[in-house]
Amino acid sequence: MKQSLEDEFTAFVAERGQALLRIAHAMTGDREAAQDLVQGALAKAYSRWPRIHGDAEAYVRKILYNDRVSAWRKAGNRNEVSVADVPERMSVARHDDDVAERLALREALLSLPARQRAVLVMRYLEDRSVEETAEALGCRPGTVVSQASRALAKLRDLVGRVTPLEASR
Amino acid sequence: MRNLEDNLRDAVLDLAGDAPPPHDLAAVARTRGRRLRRRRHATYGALAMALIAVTVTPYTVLRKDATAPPPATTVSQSPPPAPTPLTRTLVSTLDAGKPYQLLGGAVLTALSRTENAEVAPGEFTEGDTHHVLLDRETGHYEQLVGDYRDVVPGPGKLFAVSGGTDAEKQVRIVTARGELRRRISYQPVGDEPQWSPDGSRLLIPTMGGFEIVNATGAINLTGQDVSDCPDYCSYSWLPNGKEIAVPRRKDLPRSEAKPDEMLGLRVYSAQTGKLSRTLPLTERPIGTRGWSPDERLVLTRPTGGSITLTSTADGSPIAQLAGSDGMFLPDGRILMIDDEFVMLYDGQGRVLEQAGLPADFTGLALKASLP
Repeated sequence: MKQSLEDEFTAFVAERGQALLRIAHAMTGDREAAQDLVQGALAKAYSRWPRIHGDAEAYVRKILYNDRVSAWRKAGNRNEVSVADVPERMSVARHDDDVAERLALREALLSLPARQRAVLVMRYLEDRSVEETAEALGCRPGTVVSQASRALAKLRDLVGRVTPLEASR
Repeated sequence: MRNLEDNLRDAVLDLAGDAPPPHDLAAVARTRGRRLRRRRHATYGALAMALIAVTVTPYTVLRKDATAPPPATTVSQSPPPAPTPLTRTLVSTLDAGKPYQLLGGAVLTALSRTENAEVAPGEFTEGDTHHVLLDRETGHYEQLVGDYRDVVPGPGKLFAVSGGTDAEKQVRIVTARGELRRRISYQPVGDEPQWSPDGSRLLIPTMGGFEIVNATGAINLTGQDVSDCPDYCSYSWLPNGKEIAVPRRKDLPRSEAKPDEMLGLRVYSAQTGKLSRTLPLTERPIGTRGWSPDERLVLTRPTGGSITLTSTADGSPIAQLAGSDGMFLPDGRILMIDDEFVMLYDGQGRVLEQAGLPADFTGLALKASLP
């Protein structure tokens, strides 16, 4: 690869690496897995850099989301935590319901299937539109809407499940 | 209390905020990216797992339109007179119930296909890789179960494989069907692991140097500092099974614009890890299979070039050979294989025999071994 393209790749990673890691961590909830995911996506980008460097960010993000969803599928959904396993909201006294709900949501998020989580990350972290999310995930906009709706319903259920426990304390 | 979506947005931001800082992202991506490129060059996309179904067909029709490959390009100034090569005809389909015979007594040990996954219109990335492997105990071909990218057949019935989400962290030893026999953790660098000639040990390139792991999984030797191994760093066992060879790069500033140049080949004792000698090779051996039994010749792979028969005495090229992979046979002849043909060469790089392979193999990465 030409030196100018090498430099471009290095600059791209330096500039966008942290943002990609943030996305990966939001999807995996695990620092090591996030690093692996980003490195894998960047490796694929590097191997095709002369062809994709014009739109590298979109390419890498797409790989990131697709690799995460497909790795999760191959792992036999082992990362999915059943509703029964979702940790209960911390029992320490909370003065702020919002903070408590955010913590519960954070845990609950990691129990969602990878595709639903990917949809939520794109929508809520990256502020992507339904159409952009669909394009990145390689599905129809309708699928994004239904996945997001299912994810929210599940989150509501999971978070709602713990609220009465606290309320009854 | 705010609504769920507002809190969800904050929760997602919290999670993202706990991401690790970037560390060596570009360097690791380059190493892995180059490996991907290498694989892509060696593997073309076609044929599917229907292979097994297709290949159950017993020997029936002999292929008559075998395509003769291009002759070897002789590099030496005064090439010896070439014998007239024999054109053999191999069976036209793979029978999953018996080893597929190549030339020189070798058999087909592994057939692999990497899918292309479309991530955007017209833009492809590598998808899953599927393997069909020869079970040497039964003589049957089996579909390898599991998500593995790389497969290294051993001299016996076992295969070293890696792939999936932990591809960069461990090597697994499996049977042709994918039954796990051993799991070896390592920090990878460079090329694929290498089986010792007797199949009792595995030489694994690591970030720290190399490890030699024996049949029980115990580490025999944790290696030397080989940080001066070139970009394309391929390790190999010497045929004596007592020494290993590691390329050494020229001591020049590293440049991403061009691959490292090789200064020589360091030979270490597999027992003690001590450097025993240096060979004046300036191109890397293709692996353990690339050494002649008497160690006087080795198959090397220049960056971006054809596999070359090379003298280990002075590193001089003898002949370029056709094919994407090759191996020395015990009698000193060389078997070269591609997805469309196999060729047999003598120790001077002259073609002895050649044969076309079934059209079903086109696009597959093929590996040959002795039965």
